[in-house]
Amino acid sequence: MSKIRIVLADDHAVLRAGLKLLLGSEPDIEISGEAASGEEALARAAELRPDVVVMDLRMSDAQLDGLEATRAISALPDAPRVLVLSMYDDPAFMDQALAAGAAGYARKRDADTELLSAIRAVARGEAYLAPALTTVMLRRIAAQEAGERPAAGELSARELEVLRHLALGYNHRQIAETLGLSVKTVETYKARVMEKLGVHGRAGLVRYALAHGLLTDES
Amino acid sequence: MIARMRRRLWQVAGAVSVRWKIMGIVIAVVAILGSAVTYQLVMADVQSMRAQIGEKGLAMSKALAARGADLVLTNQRYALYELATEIQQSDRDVRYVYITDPAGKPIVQTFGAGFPRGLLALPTPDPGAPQAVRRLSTEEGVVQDVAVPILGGRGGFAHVGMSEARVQGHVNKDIWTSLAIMAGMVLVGGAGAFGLATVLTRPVGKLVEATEAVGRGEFDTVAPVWATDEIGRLGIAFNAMTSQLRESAETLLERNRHLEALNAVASVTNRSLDVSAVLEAALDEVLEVSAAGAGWILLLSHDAGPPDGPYEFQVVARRGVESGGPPGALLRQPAPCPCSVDAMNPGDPAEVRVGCPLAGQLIPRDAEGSEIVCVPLRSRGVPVGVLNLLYPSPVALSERERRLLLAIGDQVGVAIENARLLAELREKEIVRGQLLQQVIGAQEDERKRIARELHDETGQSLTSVSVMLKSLESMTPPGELRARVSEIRAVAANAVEDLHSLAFELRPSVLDDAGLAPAIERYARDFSERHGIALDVHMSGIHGRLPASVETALYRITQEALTNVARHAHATHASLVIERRNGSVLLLIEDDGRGFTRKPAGGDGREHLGIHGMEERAALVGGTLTIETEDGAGTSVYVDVPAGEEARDP
Repeated sequence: MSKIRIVLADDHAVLRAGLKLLLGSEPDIEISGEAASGEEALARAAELRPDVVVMDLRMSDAQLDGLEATRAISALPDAPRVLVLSMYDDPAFMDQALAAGAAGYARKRDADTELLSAIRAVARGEAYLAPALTTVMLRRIAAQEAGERPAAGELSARELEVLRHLALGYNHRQIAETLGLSVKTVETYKARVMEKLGVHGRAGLVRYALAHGLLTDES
Repeated sequence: MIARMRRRLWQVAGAVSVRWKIMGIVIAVVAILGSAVTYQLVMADVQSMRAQIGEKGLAMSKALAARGADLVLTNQRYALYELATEIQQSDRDVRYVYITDPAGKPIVQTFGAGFPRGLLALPTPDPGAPQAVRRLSTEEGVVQDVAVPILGGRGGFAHVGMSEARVQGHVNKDIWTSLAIMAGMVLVGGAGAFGLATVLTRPVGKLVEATEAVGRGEFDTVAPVWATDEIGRLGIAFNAMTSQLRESAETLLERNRHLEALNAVASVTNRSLDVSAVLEAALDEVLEVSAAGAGWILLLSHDAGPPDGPYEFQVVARRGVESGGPPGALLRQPAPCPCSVDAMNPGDPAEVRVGCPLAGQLIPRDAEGSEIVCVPLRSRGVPVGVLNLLYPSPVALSERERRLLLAIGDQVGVAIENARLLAELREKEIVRGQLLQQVIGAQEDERKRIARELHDETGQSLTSVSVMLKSLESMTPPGELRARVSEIRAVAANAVEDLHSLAFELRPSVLDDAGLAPAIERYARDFSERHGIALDVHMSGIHGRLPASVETALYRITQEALTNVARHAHATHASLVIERRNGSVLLLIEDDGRGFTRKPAGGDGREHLGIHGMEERAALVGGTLTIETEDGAGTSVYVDVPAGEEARDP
């Protein structure tokens, strides 16, 4: 069984040394090269043809940052797989990395415990997501499905009108003035609409209005 | 009853004019007087005539008795009859003559046909009395029956009846004459009364007319004075009163005009805060109310020299003064003008100066004999300039006019000061905004730098430590040392976690690197987890990037609003909407919590400071922030900011 050949790309030398120390003791892993910037990483990847590039997203003083380097490496013929190892755990960064072609996203703070399994998973051709981020992914899917929930209950014309204005972001007083109602009445309509639609706030109302094309006729 | 009649009488009398009252009284007096006199005269006449007739009757009776005595004794009846007839015919007042025997039975009589019964009923007179006179009422009027005894009654009685019919005729004639005289008197008296009434009422009428004219406000009405009697004195007093009224009215009108002028100046000075517009309008008003034909306003330059040095004034408004350079020209006075120096001395009482010797050098006057009046413009006693008025002819200003001009000067001075203060305030507000922006910008930059540092340097170093410890751990045989290493690694891992949170709180790098939406998403997720409040987030139209300042502002406002929700609202659900539409971004955060009553500014609480901070953030990027809340009805925060330039990174 051949070793997993790795290029380590990180601008932080101490961390790189630490990672080398950690990975170097593993029998199935071989560190073929190191890079301190995006362009170096791209050059090493093209030159050394590793199995996995462990890539930091942010590398200061680099012309190519980790994200762009990931995109470039993934575009190479017979491209090595890129495992992003980042300080950040924002889903946005994960999205960006995956969109750029990364095969996995791990957090540096989990490096001591997760990195080895992440490298091995990616090397096997699987995807890897930091466990802290998988919950976010699952919640996001759940939310999308919830958004497609059908209308719960019939709304009167007046309620629809109030709903439309609420979804357009008017405040209660503006709606009251526009529709010739009292603020209290607007609030009552709002509560009734929310109850009928089973939502708890403006965000739900906006989603419902968008899904039902209530906002197409903007005035 | 009596009272009612009296009232009625007064009503009637009150409705009649004085002239007719006087005439009525005079005519009534003449008529009553005439009637009384006539009555008295007629009565006296009647008495005297009756007495005459009585005496005549007595004489005839006696004559009859004397002449008839022999005939009675001799019983010559015919002769007696002749005698009786003769006596009756001797006077036309004699109605009848007859003679009776001593028993009263008629012997001779002149009645011709039967003797009237009534006469028979007369008692026989006392034979001892020389005569008996009785007045009889007959069908032919009153008749005096005079009876004289013949021969002491032994021969009977001689009766002569004297008719008083002539008396009645006389009385009637008297009455008519009296009536004619009275009518004449009434006419004369009436004419006199008319004249008197006219003399009395005409001046009074004129006075009444004059009073009515004064009542209509014609104060120059003069009541004619014909004499020095009471009515004349009344007219003189009336004229004195109207002339005083006229003076008071003129004073009032003048004061009113002054007040109107002040009011007009106040209103034009309040209408605008642009100094030159205010001053030109004020100058127009002053020229409108004063006799001045032209005027100009000099403002003391801000960097005025010392009190004894040359003053620098700027002409900021002018009217009717053509020469002397364009408005706004800086005019340096050759020497300190006395008026200006006085005007510039805050300790002295403000004073209007007539005939400034040097003002004419500033702007030459055209006409000889014209006069310049200097009005100091002051604000709270501090001189700010001079209002110069050019009068076409020498003026003597009344105390009141001086006071008006000073008041206008104060008004204009305050307006100038206000405009300056406002300009200063606006400038300060702009500077404050810039400073605030700088402070906030610097704060954000600093936070960003520190967050980066924590992540990129400290965080990575700590991560290195934990990675190295892991490697050390794997090289160490199981035992106490390995357990220690593992513990140290756990401490390092905790430190990294804390460091992440700290850096995120300082400023999430995702906001800079990925934009508002991911940053909000991330914050919202943490928020829900940390506070157990279901936060529903809907964002649309902002997946492109917004200007960094807008993103930062919206992120910080969201942070503050959600912090308030967590701290104060006691909400179970919160909602967050960010929408980009029509060139602006709407941020809406609402909760179903208990809401609050917004206290006036300056009240207590960090809550309000937080709201103020959110408003400032919104204002700095040109947006507005509205909060709708009510006790028990949740809170909604609306932020509307311009989206600015097109997205940086679509």
